[in-house]
Amino acid sequence: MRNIFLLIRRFHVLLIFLLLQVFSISVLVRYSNSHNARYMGIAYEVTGRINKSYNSLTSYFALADNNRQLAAENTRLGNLLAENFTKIDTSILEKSFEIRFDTNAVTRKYFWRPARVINNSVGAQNNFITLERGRKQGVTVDMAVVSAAGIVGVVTDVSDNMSLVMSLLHRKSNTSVALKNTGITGILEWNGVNPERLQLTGIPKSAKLAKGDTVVTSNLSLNYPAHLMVGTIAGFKLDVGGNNYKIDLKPATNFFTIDYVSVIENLYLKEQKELESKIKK
Amino acid sequence: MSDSIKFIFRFLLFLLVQALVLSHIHPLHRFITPYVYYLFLLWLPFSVSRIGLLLSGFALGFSLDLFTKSPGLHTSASLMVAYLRPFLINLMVPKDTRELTLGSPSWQSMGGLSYLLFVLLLTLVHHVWLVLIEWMRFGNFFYFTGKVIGTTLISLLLIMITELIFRPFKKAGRRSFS
Repeated sequence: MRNIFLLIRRFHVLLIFLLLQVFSISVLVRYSNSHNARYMGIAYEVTGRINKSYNSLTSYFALADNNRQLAAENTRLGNLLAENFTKIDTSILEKSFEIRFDTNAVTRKYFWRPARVINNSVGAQNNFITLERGRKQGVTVDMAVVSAAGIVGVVTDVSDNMSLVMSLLHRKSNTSVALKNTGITGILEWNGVNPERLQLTGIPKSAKLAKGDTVVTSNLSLNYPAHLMVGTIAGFKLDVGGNNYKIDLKPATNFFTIDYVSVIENLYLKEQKELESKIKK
Repeated sequence: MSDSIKFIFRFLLFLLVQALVLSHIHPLHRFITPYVYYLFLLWLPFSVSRIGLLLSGFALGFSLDLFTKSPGLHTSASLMVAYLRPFLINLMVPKDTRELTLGSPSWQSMGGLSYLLFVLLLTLVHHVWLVLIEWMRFGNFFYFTGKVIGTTLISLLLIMITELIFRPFKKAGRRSFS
């Protein structure tokens, strides 16, 4: 017993070092395995406040670019206004008066909320974006985040007034996307090398590709509405020995200057997940 | 200004510069994120105990992690620096002069070449460890080496600039690289 105490006394610095080291690495591993970890919540409130005041300064540098994007988005939305459409008279084609459902009724599936980016990184292997909109403002985990130019990421963690978004530039990011012209679906990932190139896999050899082809979100995605802009094909080659293309994608979103985004809630997400969870039983 | 206030002020300064400026530098992003924050640990006086070093390393790394949202990553790397610092000082500073100098590691107290080696080795340790645990695996060897060497060089450059700004040579003696 005495020897043990002597040993501890002799190596107490090493022991404390190992203890702290084991603690930090286990936190790192646990956090990178489950991004829904709650214990960083309070910390975000503190650092978020500092980041917010700092961001109010740095946002001026990207002002011109953001204005241009907002103007483009305004035009696009203006085109979608109901006043742009007119109904033709279909009464003469009506054959039955026994329609059981109101076929014109439209129910809302996605709800968009604006949010401001207050912290952002592109240099790490796993990049996150902090938004100034949290649980109290209606954000929950798994909501999709898009900028005016294209999709950005998925909310992984929420505190009272902020939320944390796993950006597309994350090694575990995994998005279902589709080629716009043919509708063939694939998986979008990032290999952690270049923040201006994402990797698109799962497109079979039979698909016809060209540089500059547009890629949009697919209808299979749980988080994103279908047909949102993702990016354009920057280059592709055949996977040697495989059946698929290896495609490099240029994201439409400029992750360096990202400032204002929208958080999209899928109102059917819970229902769909509940239904699909019955498959596995 | 008393010493402890000076250290707290320096701690905050290094932390905020690293978290708000250096971690956001874009033109170098693809390969390199410059790091300077651990210079706080290197500048602590000789008289700080090894436990005190470890604790301040932990505090520094952990507060940076709160900003970069990578809990444990920088904590682990700065602990590494804090743990290895006393060994390097033992190796590099002759015993008799160490007892005389009550200051902290610098060009003047350690001599130019020793100090450069001291900073270089700890910088290298920091970056090797950081890149290694960030990837959790070794990955492509050339990419790994390139990233470590690139980051180390940029960090060294920044550290030298910081030295020149905040601790210019005051004494006439011991300026030579020997």
